Amino acid sequence: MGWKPVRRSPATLAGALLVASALVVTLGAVEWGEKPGSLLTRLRVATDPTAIDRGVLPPSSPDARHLLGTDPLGRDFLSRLLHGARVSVVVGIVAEAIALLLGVTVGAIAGYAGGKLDALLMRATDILLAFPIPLIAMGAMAVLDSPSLVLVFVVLGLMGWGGIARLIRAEFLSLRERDFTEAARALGAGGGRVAFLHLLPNALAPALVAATVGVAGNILTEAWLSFLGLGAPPPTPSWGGMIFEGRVYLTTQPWLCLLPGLALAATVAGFLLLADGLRDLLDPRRRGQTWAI
Amino acid sequence: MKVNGKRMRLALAAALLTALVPLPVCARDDAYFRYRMSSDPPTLDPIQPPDESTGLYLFNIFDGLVEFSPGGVEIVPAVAESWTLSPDGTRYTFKLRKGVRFHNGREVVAADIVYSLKRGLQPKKGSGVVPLLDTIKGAREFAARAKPDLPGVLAPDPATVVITLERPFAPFLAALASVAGSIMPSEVYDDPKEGYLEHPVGCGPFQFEAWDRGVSIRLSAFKQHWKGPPAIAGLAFRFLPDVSTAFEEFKTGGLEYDNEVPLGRRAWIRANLAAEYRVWPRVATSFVAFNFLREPLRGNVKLRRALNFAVDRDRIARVLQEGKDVATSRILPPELLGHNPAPGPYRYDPAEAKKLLAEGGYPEGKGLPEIVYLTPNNEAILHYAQAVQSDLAAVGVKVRISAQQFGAYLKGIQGTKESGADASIFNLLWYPDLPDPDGFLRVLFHSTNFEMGNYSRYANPAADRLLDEGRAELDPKKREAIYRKAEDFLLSDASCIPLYYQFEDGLLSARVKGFVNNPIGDFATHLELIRLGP
Repeated sequence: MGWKPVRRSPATLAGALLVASALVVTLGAVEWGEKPGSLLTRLRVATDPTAIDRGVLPPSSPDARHLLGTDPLGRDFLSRLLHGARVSVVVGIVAEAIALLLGVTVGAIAGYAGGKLDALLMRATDILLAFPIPLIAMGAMAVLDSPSLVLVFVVLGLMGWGGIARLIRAEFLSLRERDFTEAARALGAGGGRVAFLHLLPNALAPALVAATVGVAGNILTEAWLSFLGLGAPPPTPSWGGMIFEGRVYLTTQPWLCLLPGLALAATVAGFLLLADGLRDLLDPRRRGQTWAI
Repeated sequence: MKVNGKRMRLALAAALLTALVPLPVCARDDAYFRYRMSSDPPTLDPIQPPDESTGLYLFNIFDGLVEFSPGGVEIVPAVAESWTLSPDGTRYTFKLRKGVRFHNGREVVAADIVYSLKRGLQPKKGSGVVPLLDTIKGAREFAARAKPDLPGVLAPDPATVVITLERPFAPFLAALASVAGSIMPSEVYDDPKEGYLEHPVGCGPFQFEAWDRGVSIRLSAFKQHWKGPPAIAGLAFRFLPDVSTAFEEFKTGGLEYDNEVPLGRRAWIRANLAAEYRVWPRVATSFVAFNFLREPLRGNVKLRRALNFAVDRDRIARVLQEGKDVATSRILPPELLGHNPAPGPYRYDPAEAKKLLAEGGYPEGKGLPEIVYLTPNNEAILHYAQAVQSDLAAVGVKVRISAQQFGAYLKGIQGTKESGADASIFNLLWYPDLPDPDGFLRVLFHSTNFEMGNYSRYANPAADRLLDEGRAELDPKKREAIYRKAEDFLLSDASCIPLYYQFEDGLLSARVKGFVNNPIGDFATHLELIRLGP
C-alpha cells in the first residue's frame, strides 16, 4: 500500500487535512469528564458559547474581547463557530456508524444466505432507498414532542443504511464464490464464522468509502434540520442554526451567515475528498492483486 | 430548411403581447388600500374564534350596535345612535339609527340584532364569542340549548333593542363593540349550504368582493354605508407569508401597509424610511407564565420571586427587541384602566435573585429539577427566550427551551386538566379580547377560567375576590383602585414574570392620510376614514 497513492493526490491530502481539523475542533468542543465546559474553554482557546456578554450591543463587530464579534444575542461568535463543529461532526459520524452497523448486518445476511431471504431484504432496502432522507428527517423531528440530538442520530442512522447494505451484499455475492471461501468451508468453518471472519473484512472496503460519503450527507442533513429549527435545541450552537440567525444580517454583517456556511462546506468537502482518496487507496485493481487472508 | 422570418417575428410579437396581459389588473389595484397579511384567515364567520388577522376583515365587513372610537378604547355609537342604562346597571336600551342597510340592500331592524346575538350563542360549530356574551340574561341556558328563548335580548319595536344582563358587567359595551356584536342578516346566515362562509354579508363600510385563496381578499367600498361612502375604492389584503418579501413589496410600492418589520432591520429602517416607519402601543403584555400545577414553582413564592429578579427585562426590550417595546414588571399595559405608571416591584438584580433562591430552598440552584420552557418557534420570541434562559442560568436555574409550531404550542399551553400546561414555564403574549382590565387580569388569573385563558392554573381566593369586585363595580374611579390593588397582589404573589409592554411597528406609505391606529390592535383601525393621496 504505502504512501504513494496519497502523495500522488493532493486532493486526498487536502481532504484528510480538513477532516483532521474538523475532528480536532470537535474533540475540543465536546464536553469531557466531570469538569464543566469543553476542552476549548478549559484551554482558554474559546469561551462558553452560550454566555451572553451584557456589555455589547449585538451583533457587534470584532474587537479585542471578541475576535469575530458577537452574534445577534451577544454571544462570542468565534466560540460558537468552533463549538458548532460538535453538533455537525458528531451527528455525522454517530449517525453513519449506526447506518454502517445496520447496513453491514443486512447486506451480509442477504449476500451470504441468498435465495428468498436475499430477495426479501433487498426489497426492503429498495423501499428504504426510495424515501428522501432530509424530508423524512424533517417530518420526524417536527412530529416528535421533544426534539434532541439523540433523536437526530437515530433518525438519520435508521434511514441511511440502504446504500451500504447493497454494497456489502454485492461484495458477498462475488466473494462467496471465491477459492478461499471454499477452502475455509472445506476446513470445517460454519456459515457465520465464514461470513464474519473471512468474507466481511474483504467486503468492507466499498462500504467504508460509502460511509465516509454518508458522513458528509448526514452533516448536510443536520444543517438543514438546524436551519429549520428542527435540530439541536437552543442555545446549543450549530452551523445550520447560525446560518439561519445570520441571514437577516447578510447585508450588514455578512460573516454571521457566511462563516458557518464556509465551515460547513469545508467539513463536507473534506469528507468527500477523503472518500475519494479512500476509494483509490482500497481499490484492489490498482495494485493488481486481490485480498486474501 | 429555410425559416420564414416574417412568421417568426409575428410569433415573437404575439408571445410578448401575452406577457403584457396581467398589467391592467395591477393598475386597478392602485385605487385600493393594499394591506399585507401573512396568510389566509381560517374563516370569515364573525362568531368563529377570532384571531387578530381575522378580526381585521370582520371589523370592516360587519358593524355592531356600538364601536371603538378611532384611536382609543372609548365606546361610541354605531348602528345604535344612542342608549340608556337602567339605574341598577343591568338593562341597556338602544335606539337604532334610521337608514342603515345590509350589503344586500335590506334595511337593518331590531330583529336582526336579536338574531345575531342568538346566533353567536348557539352556533352549529364552535363559537369564540360565547364567553363575551354569557352575562346576558338567559344566555347560559340558551347556549346549552336548555331553553329555546333568549329573554335577555328583546326588540319591542323595529327601532329599539333592550338587552338585560344577569348582573352589572362593566365591560359589556366593549363586548358589543367586538366581533361578538356583529350584526348579520338572517336570510344569509340561515343558509344551510353555508354560502356565507364564502361570501359574508354585513352592514359595515366595506363589502365582500372576492377571496382568491392564497393570494388576496378584496373588499370594495359600500356606498350606502350610514357614515357615507368611504373615501377609498376598497381594501385589498395581500397574503405574503415571508416578512422579507413583504418588506421588498412595500419598498417597491406594492403595498400601502406592511404590518411586520423584519428582524435586524430596524436601525436601517429608522434611518432610511423614517417617514414610513411607525411604532404603535398595543394593549398587550408579554410575560413568562408559570404552571401552578407543577412543582417546584407551585408552592414556592420565594422561588418565583427569585426568577423575577433574575431576568433583565430592560435588555430584552432595549437591545433584543431593538427598542420597540417597553420593559415592565407590571401586568396591565398603558391605555387600560388600572394601569400603574410607577415602576413595578421587580428589577434586574441577580444578587437578590440568588438570595431568594437560597431562601426558597435551592441555594445556587442545587436540587432544582430541570425546568422546561415552552415557546412558539417564532424567531423573535426564540430570540428573547434564549436571553431569559441565559439570565436564569446565571443564577443557577437550568432551563430547557421547547420551541414548537404555533398550533402545537397552543395545545401545549392548554395542556391537560391534571397537570396543566406541557411545561413548567411558558411564553405568553396576551392580547385581551376586550380592552378592559377584566379581559386581562380576570381572564388570566381567576380560578374559574382554566380553560379559556388562565393557562397558568393560578388559583388564589384573595385574588378571585378582588377580580370579582372589579367586574361588578361600574364607577370607573373605584374600578381603577380595585384593579391596581389586584395587580399589586398578583405581583407580590409572583404569579408570572412580566417582560414588556408590547408595541407594534409597521410601515405605512406616505400616500396614506387619516390612518389612526388603535392600541387595541390593527383590526380596530377605522379604514373607512383613510384617504389615498398621489
